[in-house]
Amino acid sequence: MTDRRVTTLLLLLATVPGACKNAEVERRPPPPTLAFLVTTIGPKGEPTRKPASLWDGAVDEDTVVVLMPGLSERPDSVRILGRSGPVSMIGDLPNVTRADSLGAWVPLPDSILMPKGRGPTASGYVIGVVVPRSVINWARKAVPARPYLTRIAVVASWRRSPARGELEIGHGL
Amino acid sequence: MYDLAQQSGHDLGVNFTTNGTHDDPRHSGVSNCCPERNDPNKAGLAVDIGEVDHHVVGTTEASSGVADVKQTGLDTPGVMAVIDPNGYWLAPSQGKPKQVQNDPATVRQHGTHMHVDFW
Repeated sequence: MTDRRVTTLLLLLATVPGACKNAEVERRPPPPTLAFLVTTIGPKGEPTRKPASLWDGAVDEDTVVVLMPGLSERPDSVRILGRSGPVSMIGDLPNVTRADSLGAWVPLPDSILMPKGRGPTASGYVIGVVVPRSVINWARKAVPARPYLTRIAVVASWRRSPARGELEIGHGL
Repeated sequence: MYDLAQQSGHDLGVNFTTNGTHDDPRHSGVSNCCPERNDPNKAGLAVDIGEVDHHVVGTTEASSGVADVKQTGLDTPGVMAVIDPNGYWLAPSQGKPKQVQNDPATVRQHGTHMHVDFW
């Protein structure tokens, strides 16, 4: 009889901390991520919007939506950066790879990330929208030594977890 | 452009946006990145091909047609440059063979269309 009680207690002791640990893992939210929703204009003019790592000025619409997928709350902080480099040409076209490799990250004005559509949606929390052409123009004026924008990065934090998303910028060649 | 289609033996679909804003002044005579390169005489000398035989460039269905059009472009003296999802080729001067260009970022921007420049 005594032996049986001792055995039961030991089992409980072994089970309860494990159960707490599992509950903690379940409660912990997944780390946030960032996505850019780009609308591409098809060969016949039909638009298609989807997450993308490249905005191509030759075929994509002007406005890009910045989204934190799966999130329903506003992030604690958001910053936007741009990477721009010097222009060197291959024939009539800029060498984009060279501009990017010689480029540097610079903080962009907060106004670049416009609050249009901000808030929770079915696919996540919309932080705002960016118009890459206006960032291209900003870099040309604000960073004359490295005027060619090649990438945009958004850095956000939610519940002390950081997220960073990058969007390659194609000017339209 | 007509010759390129005839010689390659494929139907070519020109992108809706080919007359939009571009860095290459051969599209519309205006260079978005480099205004000093604006040249109205170059307008109409670049084209973005979004479909080959009615298949979107970058898809498996279009791949053999894209390869044919690219090769025809490389063999055609009137073509200055070809950029497709697989590479970038440019002639240093008219009549000279096109050479491979090392600019992978520019190639990435052509995952869904071909860019062809004419002299």
